Amino acid sequence: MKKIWLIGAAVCSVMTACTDLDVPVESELTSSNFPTTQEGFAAASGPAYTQLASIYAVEYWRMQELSTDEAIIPARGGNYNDGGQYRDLHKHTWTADHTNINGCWKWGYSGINKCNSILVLFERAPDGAAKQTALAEIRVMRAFFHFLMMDLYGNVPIITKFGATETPKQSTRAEVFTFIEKELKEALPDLNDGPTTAKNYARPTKSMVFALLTKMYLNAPQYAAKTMYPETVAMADSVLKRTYFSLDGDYMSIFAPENGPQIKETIFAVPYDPNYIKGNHFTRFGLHTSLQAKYSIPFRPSIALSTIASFYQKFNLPNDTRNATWLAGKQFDFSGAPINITTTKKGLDQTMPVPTVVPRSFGSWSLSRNLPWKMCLTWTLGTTNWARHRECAPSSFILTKMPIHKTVTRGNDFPVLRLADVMLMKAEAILRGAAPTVINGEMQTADVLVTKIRTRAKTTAATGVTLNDLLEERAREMAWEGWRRNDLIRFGKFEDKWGFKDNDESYRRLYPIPNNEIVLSGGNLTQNTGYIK
Amino acid sequence: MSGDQLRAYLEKYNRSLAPGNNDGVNTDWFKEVTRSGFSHNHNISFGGNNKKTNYDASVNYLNNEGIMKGSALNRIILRGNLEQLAFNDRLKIGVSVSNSISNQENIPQLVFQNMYTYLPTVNIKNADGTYKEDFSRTRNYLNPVSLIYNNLDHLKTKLMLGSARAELKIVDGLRYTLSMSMQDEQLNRNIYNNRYSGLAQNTNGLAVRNAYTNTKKILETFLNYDRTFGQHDLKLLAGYSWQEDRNGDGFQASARGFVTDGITYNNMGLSDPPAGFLPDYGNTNIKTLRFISFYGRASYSYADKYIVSASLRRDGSSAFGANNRWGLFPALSGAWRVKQENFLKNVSWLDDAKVRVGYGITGNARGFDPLIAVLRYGTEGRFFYDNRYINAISPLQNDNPNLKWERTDMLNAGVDLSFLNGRLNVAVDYYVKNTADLIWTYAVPSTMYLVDVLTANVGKISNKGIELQLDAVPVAANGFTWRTSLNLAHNKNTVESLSNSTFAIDSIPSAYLGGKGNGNPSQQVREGKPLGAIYVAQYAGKDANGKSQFVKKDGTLSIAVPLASDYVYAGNAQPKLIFGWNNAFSYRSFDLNFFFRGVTGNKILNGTLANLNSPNDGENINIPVFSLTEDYGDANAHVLSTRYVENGAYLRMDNATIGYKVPVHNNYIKGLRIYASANNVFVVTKYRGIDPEINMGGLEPGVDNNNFYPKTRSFLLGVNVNF
Repeated sequence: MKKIWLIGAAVCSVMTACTDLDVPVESELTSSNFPTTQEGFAAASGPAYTQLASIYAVEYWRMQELSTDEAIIPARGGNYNDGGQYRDLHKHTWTADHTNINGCWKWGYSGINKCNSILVLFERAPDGAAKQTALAEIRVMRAFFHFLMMDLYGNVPIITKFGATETPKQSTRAEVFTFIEKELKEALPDLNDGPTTAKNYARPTKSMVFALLTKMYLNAPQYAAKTMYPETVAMADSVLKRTYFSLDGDYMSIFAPENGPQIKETIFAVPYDPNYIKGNHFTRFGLHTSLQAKYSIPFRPSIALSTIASFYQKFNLPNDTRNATWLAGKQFDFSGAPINITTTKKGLDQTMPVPTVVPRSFGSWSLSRNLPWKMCLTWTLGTTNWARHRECAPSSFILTKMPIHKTVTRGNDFPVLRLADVMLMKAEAILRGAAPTVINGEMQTADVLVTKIRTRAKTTAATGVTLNDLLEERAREMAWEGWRRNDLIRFGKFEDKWGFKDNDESYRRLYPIPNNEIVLSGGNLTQNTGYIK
Repeated sequence: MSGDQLRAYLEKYNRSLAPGNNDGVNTDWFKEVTRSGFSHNHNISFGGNNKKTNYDASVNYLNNEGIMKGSALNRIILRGNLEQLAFNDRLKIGVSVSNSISNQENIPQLVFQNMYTYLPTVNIKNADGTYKEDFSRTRNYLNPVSLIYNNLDHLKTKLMLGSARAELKIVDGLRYTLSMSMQDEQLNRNIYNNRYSGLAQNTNGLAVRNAYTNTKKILETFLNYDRTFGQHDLKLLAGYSWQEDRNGDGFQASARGFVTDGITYNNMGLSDPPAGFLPDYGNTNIKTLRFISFYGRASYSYADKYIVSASLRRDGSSAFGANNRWGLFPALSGAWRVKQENFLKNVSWLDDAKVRVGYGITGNARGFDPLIAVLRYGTEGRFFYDNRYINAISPLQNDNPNLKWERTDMLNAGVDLSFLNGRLNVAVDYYVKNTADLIWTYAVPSTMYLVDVLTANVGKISNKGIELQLDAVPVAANGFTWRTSLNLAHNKNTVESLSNSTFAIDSIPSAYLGGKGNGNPSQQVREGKPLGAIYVAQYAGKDANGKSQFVKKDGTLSIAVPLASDYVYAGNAQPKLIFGWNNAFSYRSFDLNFFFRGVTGNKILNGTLANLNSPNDGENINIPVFSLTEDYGDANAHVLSTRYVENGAYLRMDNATIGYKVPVHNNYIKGLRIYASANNVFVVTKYRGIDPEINMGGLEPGVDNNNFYPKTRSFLLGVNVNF
């Protein structure tokens, strides 16, 4: 009997211990081995940026643009119906179950939580200026995610602690505004300053904070029920004083596939790369299939995005280089030959009797704005095969501002804050009552500032600019850059009619809080006014 | 629909297919990608023994052609066992080895969806012999035949299992057993999407290869003491077991850009990928899970009349947080063989009667990542840093160091009765089972966690049920025997509570089926309801224009997409009755066996049908025949509603076998039996989906979503020869 126990004991000792449950973690990073090096801390800061890039140029962009007159995804003969999600954004009929409304909330709060976890990790980093800068950058990123959430949903929770164990408490939009302002100002002293370099590109800098505060202050009436126009001008001036920012001579270069730190005008951007940072799909969603050959695109683009006629008509200044950013009218290849498509006229127009399906080649396929729109069974602009190829029959223009890049995902970095925007914001604050200021010896009135933008676009100077002119200029200059919803709300025009939209419910200036989040919060989150509770 | 049906349907609504989508044909994609598979299986085994040594060995070869074209499996298994007695037969040592090698050819998952949704109006191939494709389309619209022939997915699995066992009789009644086993599994997967593949467009061929090893080591050692003193019978057991599973040791690589498809995945060195190409190294990590148990059991019976048994286990799992790794699980049971009592001893029609009662607690430590307790990091895309794109490293999973054993306490009581010389046996069991600290991956607020799901102990679930087992031999005369057995089970499942210290909620949305821009849940785990409670929109028929109507929260009808807040309880997935019925007949050398089983009283959410029933997609994809009676303009026909909550009852003849023992009188052949059998012979159900038998496990049972794999019916011919 004794012998047996000895065998048992021997077996146990071979296994090191009978009761040892500490298994090694062999192929993963855990808190025991990460982050411990300089490179480790750099990598650990990354999630704040990858999170931002993940859906900024698609889902987030759709919430800010498809809900306005600037961009539209019509159903193409049934394709791109996708449960009506694009229709709901255009017609202002979204509900708290909308897929983007859910997705963007999760995206934003995941970004905030990532920042919070990074801040905890960085406590362990060796002390020094580099640590202070890194902490400040992440704090600004956290504030920026709060800004995006506050702009979309209004009354949202403020989350500053990683691993919170309580369900979220809702704050008012004004409280979130105050929090963001405080965070940005506290982070400011530790941030990098100076011209854009490869080192600070696409990271928060002092200038990025100034530009973001300019945006905050200009929208303060909406965000916090107060006016802050002199503060807006002062913040804009903090950027404008820094002469290393300047308007790039070639408007299109700001958005080119090879854009990056060398662009003198970009203050903060979301970088994209076809191999490393996928998430820019403007070629895929923006170009018609029949243009594949012309631009030698190695995949079939899928015709989704367009704009509507009333917006295209804003591009009416003489010789304005921005007019050429749209593809419109008949399309020709580079040799001048028309691009033909083959389709049928079946059901082209309900008044047109078409007894049989007749395949037909049109002389030249056209991105046209001459046919009347019609609202069809689903969300089809023209229900026909022909319509499918006419890019939303009558009114279809594709913005080529993000010039064609020959990969499914593109290399064009997406500008978030840039100098032209700051200039236009300053001009607007002046038109709204702030006093013009002198920057580097130049008295900058609204006319002076808008003329700078116009001159770069190689069109006429601006005189006697009104607030309405300014909104029109923002439309031309900032088309598809993700600020149109913000602009229309500030100008009280978000309730106007355009395209198929005739809904004027003003509560839609805020998106609803996703229903699922309300359920999961255990009742801590209250739905925004107007939406079904 | 067939091509003609679809064209006629569209014509009816003044619609048409784009010219490129209409070749005027009727292509039956289902028929094009399926076949009657032919399989064969051979087994040879032999063995022998003398006084001290026992041995046996076997070889098994299986070759299975899948019912989907392009899918196949072949496998060879070798087994050997050796047992030796020593020390006056007091020590028994056994060694066994088994090795299997299988080769599997798989087809892309998208074939299943596309064989239903690819337009039946187009040709399989273009005039030039290439497959007809439309790569401009989204939603994975790809030619299913092309998917099969332009993609390779081969999996080779080698599994080695070795075990050794020693059993020593120490003194009378006291035995010591030690066993050790080790399993080593090697998986090699090779994928090649060629230059025509829709899965790897514009890559000039994409190859992915990976090789992973999984190992499992088990040590078990225990002492038995069995002793009978007169009327007293005592059995004691004490043991220890140790198990470690280590999975995912290996690597993956990928390459693209080949000058030819001729070498497929075999030489990635010949690839010429574009600048900036990143090989896909996969994201499999080494995961180790260790399980340790100490256990003991004591049973005592008096006069084979009163039986009591008690056991205690202490189980530990490395998966839990340091403070919660160990759990103590006792159990106690007793039985009374009433038949042994004097007042029943002489009742001749009753052979046996036994009353049983038991109570025990068990623990569960499975169903989640072995590394759940530690915060883990992994790469999460890249970001611009100092003019380079570097890896961002991020926490990948919400850690939960407080995760602990899921505990189930169960009380059961039963009666076993045997009548008429064993011709009729009845067993009835009643049980009450309460599971606390339920482990599951829950949706959590994205404001609180990095990831919007968390594996946690939340909630209590109860199961109460009754089971009846009947075994009878109704006929046994003149060489004819009929044996039948019937099993009936009824279970009532209830979610008792969902709150714990973190969560204070009464319901958790679940079963997000996705598809067609639908981001809503279709079930709720809700206090007071069973698991699998379906919450969907209430369908109210079609309006005058043929549009689907739904009941809103305020009771009015609307043709708009309903909100999650309009959803109503629409039944649950728990069956009221589960049954099985087996019949075995034998007459002289013939034998016949058939087995039925089924369920009743449950609901299934037919998400597959809902998603396919999208009439206004008819210009783009094929729609089911079901949609023929739908209005083309009904844009919300697919919305998950009570319309797709179906009765899930079914009766299936699972197996039927007929056999014949050939009478042989031969020195070489000792026995010969030939038999034919069929699986899944028929099923009786009103359910409209492919198969009413769907996943019933987990927290989201009873959901049929994107279930396109056809249920197979197989016929088998077999020969058994004994030498």
